[in-house]
Amino acid sequence: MNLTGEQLAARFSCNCWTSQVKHFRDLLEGFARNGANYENAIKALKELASFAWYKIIAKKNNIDNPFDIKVVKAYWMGDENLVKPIKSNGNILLPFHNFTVLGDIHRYAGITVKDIDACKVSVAKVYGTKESQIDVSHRALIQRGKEFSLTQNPKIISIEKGFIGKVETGDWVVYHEEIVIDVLSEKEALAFIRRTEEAIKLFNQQQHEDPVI
Amino acid sequence: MCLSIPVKILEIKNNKVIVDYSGERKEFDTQLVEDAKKGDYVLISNGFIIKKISRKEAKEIFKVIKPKEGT
Repeated sequence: MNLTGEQLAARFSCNCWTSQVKHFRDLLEGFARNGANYENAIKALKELASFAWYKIIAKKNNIDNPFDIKVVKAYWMGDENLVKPIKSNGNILLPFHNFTVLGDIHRYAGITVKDIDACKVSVAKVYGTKESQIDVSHRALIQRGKEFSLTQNPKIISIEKGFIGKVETGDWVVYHEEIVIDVLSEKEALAFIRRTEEAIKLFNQQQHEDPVI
Repeated sequence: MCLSIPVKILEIKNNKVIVDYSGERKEFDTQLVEDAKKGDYVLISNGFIIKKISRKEAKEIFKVIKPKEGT
């Protein structure tokens, strides 16, 4: 990925719910593509919840700039060297997006497993290409009781080509909110899938009832 | 839909806060947001508060996700 941390953050965040509600999508997408409107884009990125995670990762690793590309990549892609578990009274928090998206959704109306599935960062093999979209073999997030997992029965879905140019059938891509962020090597893709499965396992292990005060 | 859940801080207790978590009082860790105060709205994740937000932002999120009764 030959781009700045700010631009990588904009790629991942441009189509999220908060960006849409705050009307940041066009601003962040343009900035991610060509660096346009830098000051407004940075201001917008700092309003998103993801910025809190960048600050947490940067602080835990003694990195001054929360938008350092290593930090941004660590949050979205789960770099094991920078994503250090944070502990308190039996709870373990992993500052990795695919851990932080998991939650107590049964308590709330208006948010579904399908929503969280689109929100999680996914990696998949390209199954076919079209003009502005590609088909990928997508492993959806599923939920049984309070526990999550990735389905063992992938389905072919169409997603926006997003920020990549040329892509071929058989390539691995990373995507978020149905927009492709980048192309990955097979080694990177398989490592990412393993980190996601480990994050889900860690979340599931903590699904006990907290005492009500 | 990337969306973090907002809660209101009801009480501060050492390095914990007690929040209104879909109608229940629950404890959350404050080590990541040290300047949280009673009455603040914050986003939460797995037992921790992670970011202060404005009341207006919390209301915007609650327009989309609403606590279910009796959970």
